[in-house]
Amino acid sequence: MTREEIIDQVKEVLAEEFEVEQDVMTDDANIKDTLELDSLSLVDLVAVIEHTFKVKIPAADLPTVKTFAQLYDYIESHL
Amino acid sequence: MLYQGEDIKKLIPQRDPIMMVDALVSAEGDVCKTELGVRESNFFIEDDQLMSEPGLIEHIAQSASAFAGYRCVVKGEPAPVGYIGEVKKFHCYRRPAIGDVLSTTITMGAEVNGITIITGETTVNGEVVADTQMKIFTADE
Amino acid sequence: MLLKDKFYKVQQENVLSPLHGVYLIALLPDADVYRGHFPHKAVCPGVCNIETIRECAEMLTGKKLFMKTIKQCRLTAVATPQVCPLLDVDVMLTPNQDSSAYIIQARIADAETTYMELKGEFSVNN
Repeated sequence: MTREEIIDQVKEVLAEEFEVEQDVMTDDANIKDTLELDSLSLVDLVAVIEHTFKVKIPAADLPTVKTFAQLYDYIESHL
Repeated sequence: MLYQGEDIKKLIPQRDPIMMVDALVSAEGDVCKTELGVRESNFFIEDDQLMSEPGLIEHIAQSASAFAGYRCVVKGEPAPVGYIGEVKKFHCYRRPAIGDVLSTTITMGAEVNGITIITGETTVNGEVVADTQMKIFTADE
Repeated sequence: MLLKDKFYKVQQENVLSPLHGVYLIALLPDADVYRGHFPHKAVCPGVCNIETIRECAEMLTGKKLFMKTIKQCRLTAVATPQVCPLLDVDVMLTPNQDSSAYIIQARIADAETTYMELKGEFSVNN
């Protein structure tokens, strides 16, 4: 899977799950702020990524995944 | 059957009149199966003799709780107390009737900071009657 | 109704419009359900609060309603008859196109705390 394919799929599944427009998910945007995540919906994010890419993000790694670009990096390096 | 009858009380903290799991049928990896026979005395039976939809939600939540309890008990740890944090994408396709046996499959999903996502699907004789996602908080009492 | 006058009593009914009502309810501390939830500590089962929302929606519409879909229901605080003896149940309904179902938005809260928020679709037909 190329990085472009990862980005497209992430945007597609997150737009559906969190009911946001795809274009708000810019590379440097903060994920929590953009998707208005709290402790409950943060679990949705982890679950959607795990379901879509079979990539588990352990709680310990979450602080390193702040922006969308960092999320793409994380998925790319754990596929 | 892994746990049934009185033994199910080792896995869940709920008691009569709101015990909504009869048996933990199987548990393997992230998936477990449970059963509940719908009796006339069930807390959620309405005037039309069918189960109210929140009864299905409670059954699915207690099924997840029994699974979490089982995982602890086999490790020699006490069963945790879980609270429902969120019910999401719940659908009720048919309200169960007295005499129906609910068969439920629970799949444990992602866990972050003590909040676990589970999915549950309940069938009666192979027909799906309800499905949902749920988030459970696990608390030490 | 399953829970009216058994789990809660309606103290006051504020019908703001035919599709929007706020019900002030008193939780009944001696409700039978607390024998089992839990034996050592009475905690309102979240599903009883969901059922209470449905019953308030039924009082508002005067119709039996079926809970076909819960899009999202958040249980944001633990409710007990001690912590929150009185609660406001705020129910707002929007009929769908053919009036066979209502989109519901509901909230259970007291002055300080929100205990539950629910979005779903309740159908008129079983």
